[in-house]
Amino acid sequence: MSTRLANNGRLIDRSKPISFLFNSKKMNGYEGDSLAASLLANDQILVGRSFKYHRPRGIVASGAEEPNALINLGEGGYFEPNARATTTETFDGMVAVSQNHFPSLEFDVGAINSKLAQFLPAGFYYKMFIHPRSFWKHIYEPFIRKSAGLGKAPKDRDLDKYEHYYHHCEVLVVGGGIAGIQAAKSAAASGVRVMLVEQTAHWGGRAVVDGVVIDNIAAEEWIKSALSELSAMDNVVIRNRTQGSGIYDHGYALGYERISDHTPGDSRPRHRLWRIRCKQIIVATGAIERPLSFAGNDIPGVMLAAAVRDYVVNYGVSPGDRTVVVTNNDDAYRTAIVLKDAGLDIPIIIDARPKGGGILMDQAIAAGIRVETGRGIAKVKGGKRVTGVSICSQAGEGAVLEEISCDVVAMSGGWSPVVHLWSHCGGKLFWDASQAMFCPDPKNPPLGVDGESMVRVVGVANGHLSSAAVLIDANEQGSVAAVAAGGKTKKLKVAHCNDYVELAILPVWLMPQGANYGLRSKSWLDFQNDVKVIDVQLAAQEGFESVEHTKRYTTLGMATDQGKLSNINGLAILSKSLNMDIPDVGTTTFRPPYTPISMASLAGEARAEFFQPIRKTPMHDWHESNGADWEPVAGWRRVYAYVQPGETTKQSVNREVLNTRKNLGFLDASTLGKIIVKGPDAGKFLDMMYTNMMSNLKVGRCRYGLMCSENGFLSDDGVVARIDDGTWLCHTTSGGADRIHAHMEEWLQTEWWNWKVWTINLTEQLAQIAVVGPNSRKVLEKLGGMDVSSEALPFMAWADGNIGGISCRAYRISFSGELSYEIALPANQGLQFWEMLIDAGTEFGAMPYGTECLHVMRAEKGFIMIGDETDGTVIPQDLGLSWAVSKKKDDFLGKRAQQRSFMDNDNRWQLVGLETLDGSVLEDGAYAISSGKNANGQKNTQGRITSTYYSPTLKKGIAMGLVHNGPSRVGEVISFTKIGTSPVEAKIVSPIFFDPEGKKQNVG
Amino acid sequence: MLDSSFEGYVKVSQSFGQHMFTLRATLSSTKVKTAIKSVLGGPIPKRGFCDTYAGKTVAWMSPDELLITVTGPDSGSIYADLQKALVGQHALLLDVSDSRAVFTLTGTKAPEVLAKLAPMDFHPAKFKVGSFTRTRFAQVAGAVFRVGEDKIILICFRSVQQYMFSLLCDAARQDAQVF
Repeated sequence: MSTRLANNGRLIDRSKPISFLFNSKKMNGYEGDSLAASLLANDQILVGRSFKYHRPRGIVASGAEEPNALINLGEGGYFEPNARATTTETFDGMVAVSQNHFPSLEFDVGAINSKLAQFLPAGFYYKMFIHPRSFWKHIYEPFIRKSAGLGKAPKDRDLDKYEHYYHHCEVLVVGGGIAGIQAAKSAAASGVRVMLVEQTAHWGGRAVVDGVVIDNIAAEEWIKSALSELSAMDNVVIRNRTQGSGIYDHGYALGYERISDHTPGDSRPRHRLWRIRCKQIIVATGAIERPLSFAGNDIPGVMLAAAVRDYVVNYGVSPGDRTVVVTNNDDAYRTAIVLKDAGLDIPIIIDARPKGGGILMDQAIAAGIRVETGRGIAKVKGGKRVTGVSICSQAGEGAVLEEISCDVVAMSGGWSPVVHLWSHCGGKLFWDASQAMFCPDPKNPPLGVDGESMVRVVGVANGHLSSAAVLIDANEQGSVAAVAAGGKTKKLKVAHCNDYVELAILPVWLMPQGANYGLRSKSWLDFQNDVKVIDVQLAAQEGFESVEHTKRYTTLGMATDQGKLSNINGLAILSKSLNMDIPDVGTTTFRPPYTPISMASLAGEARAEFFQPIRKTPMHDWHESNGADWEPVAGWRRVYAYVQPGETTKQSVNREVLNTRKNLGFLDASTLGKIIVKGPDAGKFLDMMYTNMMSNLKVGRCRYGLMCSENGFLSDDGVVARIDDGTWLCHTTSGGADRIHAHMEEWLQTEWWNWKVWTINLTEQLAQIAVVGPNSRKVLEKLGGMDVSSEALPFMAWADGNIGGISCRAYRISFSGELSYEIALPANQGLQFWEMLIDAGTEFGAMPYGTECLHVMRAEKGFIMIGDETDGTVIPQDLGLSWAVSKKKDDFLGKRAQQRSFMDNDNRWQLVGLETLDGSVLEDGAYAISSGKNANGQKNTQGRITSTYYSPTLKKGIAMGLVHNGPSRVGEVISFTKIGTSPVEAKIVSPIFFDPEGKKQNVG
Repeated sequence: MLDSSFEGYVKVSQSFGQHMFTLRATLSSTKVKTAIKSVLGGPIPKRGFCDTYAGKTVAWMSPDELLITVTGPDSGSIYADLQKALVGQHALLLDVSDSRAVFTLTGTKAPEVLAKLAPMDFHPAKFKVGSFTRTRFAQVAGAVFRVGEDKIILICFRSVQQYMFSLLCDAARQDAQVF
């Protein structure tokens, strides 16, 4: 059984016992435990079920590479699935639940899949679910969806906080082992800003567990003093619990800090995403041990050899009483020696190499451990945990030589450098045959803006397996990186390490090498996704030669661990099946992030109230407390309608329309774009920007104008006012303010850079209020201060003045067809002026109105709306606006485009009014049906609805639409689609439904 | 309006009543330089900086734009003086006081709070006292002046001032310290 030992446990605090729940069972641990260590200490060997066959799964590893020990963590608003037990720190009160089983972890009905394994081969899904076609939607898809995913999806809103942090430095060092620490020291000595990150809570990596001695002191002491040196330096930032998750172009890297995963509810942010900009990145990410492929290697109790000693040394936890060690290299002997020293039983070390290992093997033998060389494991025995192993000759086919009982198998198939970060941004790899590993190829690095290497890999990650070589490499490259990042050359003296000489690894991709089909079908490559040796061999046999295709066909390496344990073994099997060399098969692509990171950390602060900034006008709060039903417009919130008690929103809109037409309405028009254009060439410039003439506009007058894109399509519209001889004010749509300002600046800066024109976007500076209706003049006269009579301020004129004691600019313009003014004034006085209007307007029947009322009124008048009547494919001529397109001007943006044959042509969809025969309201976007069908068998169309409303003024549905040759077909009845029912008939009419002579807006 | 403030590990406060003018003009022009100097009392600041002359702050926005901030009662006359001094020049001067919101962050960790929201480098060697930079804060545009080692003034558009204030307070809350 697995248990807590009386000795060892450098990372735990035995004076601080904690308790937690696993599958509702109370368990005990110590502060400093990983959840995996705590589970093992409580003899919880079985921790989950695999994805496809629901096989029992136990802890395999001790770090980020763990494929099996994934758990549902926390509850309610703190719930998260797929938490990796090996990288989760246990805390008091933790609630953890295992995944992917029903009804329980111990008894799972899904395990029947395992018995059906022979019917679920590689590519099963592709082969099974393709026929018959009709089964997909109602049978196959629901089935696949039900079986998809390991953990449960969270149901509640996340209660934690998250944030970003933008960090700038010259050198980023990823990995806090001795390589990363030495590289950071070396880089920092040059004076540049250095950041050193380590994904776990602890510094030092493997060196401490492996008993490395540096300059005659234990690695742990060396690390401690190096870190205190680094912390004391002003130019160094060091951060544990922070993973270097991804490397991107131009020295951009992501760090993922897990601040309070182990102290939930302490009100600190849970995760912080470090968005790091640096010049050079040093990757010191170590290596991951590889499993060996033998039958039964997935049975709980079969673990990586280094992980077994990690649990003993770091947490004082023994994974079992009797451990069989199986290896193809010297490193696993360390596990045997550590376990023996801890008083545990090592019945045998099985070394696949014919002659075994070097000094470490001699030490093991001297410690009284039995070592058998040239041997392998034929098969592991056991179900939900290991009970023993059958031993065979590695060179044979699996004939059993001996059976040994044990409860743990510690395996080591060699080490794979963690080259992920190097590869994220394009670094290439080479196959180091002598060490049987892919290493970063320094000749093909990820390149920075200057075409030079921006990433360097050091230490074990760079293929240096001895500590002495690690430190020399890290010291050298730390300094080179710092100089490349602008630092001074300063070489530090490297500490000395005494390493044991280790004998070469023997690549073992299958154990025994001639394993028969029965054994191979039980030899796992990917523990989480249940991919076995035979699956990869089948893929090769069926023609999947590319490693990327094999990956997708078999799902090898597609689990949440992204193949950290399985990739190299899988591609080695593939290369053998294809009779190719490993480097010729290559690896699959390494993509960031290195391990899954929380979605919430990517969002950072941008959630709930910060999800999106809401632009608010000066009168926003007044609207809010007066029944505003909001609609989003270009980042703003505008009032759709002011809903009075007992009204539906629709009723409010109708009331607002009728009241404005009969009495008086106020609209908050502050969101309209207002751009000042000034200079000797401003008139010439505006003549280019607008389709109509603006240079001849008289001071004090306004003109409606259209702006087109270079392709002739209508882009924006609005009223332009001539302020003085050299100055114009251009109103744009609310959504157009920033876009049109940028459009103007782009032309001024890139094409007409020698024209003397300045622009300033004044949108935010001014509040603007439309005062609309037959009583509009009366309310302004009541407030007093300026002459707003038709003599002083005729239609399409403006004047500066003072109303009710507030200086303002009044425009006599109308978008409703009523007598109407727009009053612009400094934003800080907007609310005060609005409230004055509301008070003064009471006697005239004033009511505020919203954007829907505005829309209905403009549609009644046949005024177009950018975004309704236009969609980027519509030209002014389509909308009956030819009168606003100058024939006299030599040029304007869009002129040439509008001369193209298919634009300078009446054979287009053009604007008309539409009235249903039954008075009903047409559907927005509905198509006008034409005769015949198109090439796709769809009915032909001859137009579509662009705006459609119920007109309370006319008491019937009115619409505008673009209809083929529309204006020449007035009086014709055509049919429009209506979803779910038969088409609706409508008559083509003039788009001006109300007051076609314009008497109301021109009232004297 | 009354100033509002929040005490986190950095103090965040919003202040009102500043006068701001935007000037578009060719800053390299000698006549423009002379006009500015005659009214504001000093030369045009270098790129990335702002200079203060007796309560009048001039910030470099672009090669053809300055932001002039004035506090106190004589702001109206400074605007008029500037306009007068620029007569005959191709220049556009406008009052933009109402279009902006102004926040001050005070505390040794003011740059740290801003680094959660803005992608720029706040290191004292890169963003010195006297520096002025246009940047973004989370999802909105803004600009920052470093007025002192422990004091940074930030401006943004008025329509997003509530977002900005809440954002700054959230980033400055006591439990969210980075270093």
